Amino acid sequence: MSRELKDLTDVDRLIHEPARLTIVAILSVAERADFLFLLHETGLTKGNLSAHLVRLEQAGYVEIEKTYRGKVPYTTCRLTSRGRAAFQAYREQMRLVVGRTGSRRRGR
Amino acid sequence: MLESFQTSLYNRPVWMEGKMEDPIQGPIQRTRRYWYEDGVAELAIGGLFLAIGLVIWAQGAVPEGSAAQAALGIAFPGVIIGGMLLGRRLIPSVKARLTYPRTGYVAYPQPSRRRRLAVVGVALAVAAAVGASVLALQPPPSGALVLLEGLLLGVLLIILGQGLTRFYLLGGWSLILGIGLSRLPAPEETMSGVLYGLTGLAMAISGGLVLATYLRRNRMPPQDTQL
Repeated sequence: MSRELKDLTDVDRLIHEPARLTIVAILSVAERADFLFLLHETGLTKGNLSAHLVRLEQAGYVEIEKTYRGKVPYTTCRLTSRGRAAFQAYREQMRLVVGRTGSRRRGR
Repeated sequence: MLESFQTSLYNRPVWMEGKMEDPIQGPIQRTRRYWYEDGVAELAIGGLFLAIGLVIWAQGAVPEGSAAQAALGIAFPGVIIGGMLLGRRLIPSVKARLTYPRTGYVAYPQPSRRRRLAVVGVALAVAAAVGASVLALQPPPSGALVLLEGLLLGVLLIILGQGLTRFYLLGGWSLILGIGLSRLPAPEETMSGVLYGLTGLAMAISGGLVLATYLRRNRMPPQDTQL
């Protein structure tokens, strides 16, 4: 197995999934964001977004807080320090993969 | 025509539409820019600049040494501090009514102590450089202060704008105003007031257009939109 391919297979697949990557990228620059913002920015359906958030919460990457505003449920999400570290590691890994692929192409 | 102009003001240049988005940088950048999504902050900052411009202009217009000039001198820091305090209350409250129910809420992290110190350091360095230049060029060339103010306002707007096209335009407008006004044979105080006033007016117009576009594009969703 080539080194690039091994690097790619080693990436955190929980974050690598495009919808979850978008969610984590958004939360990486926010202290907290609500469900409506994530829904709006990701373009996912409510059910889909909920499912991805639950997976991220189960992995300890995202903290979900459910409250009420009047009688309306209100959900906010925050990236945990574990999630932040995982995102940083993922970005670093992808940078390495892209860098190696680029340098190999240039070397041809 | 107006639609394409508003699109470029609202989001990104029309020529960039359709380009593939970076899966990480795209959402990060959009989240950072979300604060300016509705134009409310621009309207508020524009209003503050307009008020500052009016006070500076009035100081130049009233007779030298008069009670009115003294009163305006005392009112000037009050306008800046009061305007900033009012903005800190007004912007979140307007956003809570107009923006958060439509497109959601984002809380941004407080800048770290190191970053705050760096910002204060840069501001002090710029102020010291400007002060030293003014002292070195005694008597300062006519219009130099207005030119510097235009330049500083322009740089400030570009830094504040998170790479949004309309903030580059506003920064450019401020710089052009600074160059143009510094060449006019009028008292420097008056020109300085006009510079702040017209920059504030441009910001308020830009903010108003962005807000109108935002409200038209984003209708209030039904009450059960949350999880």
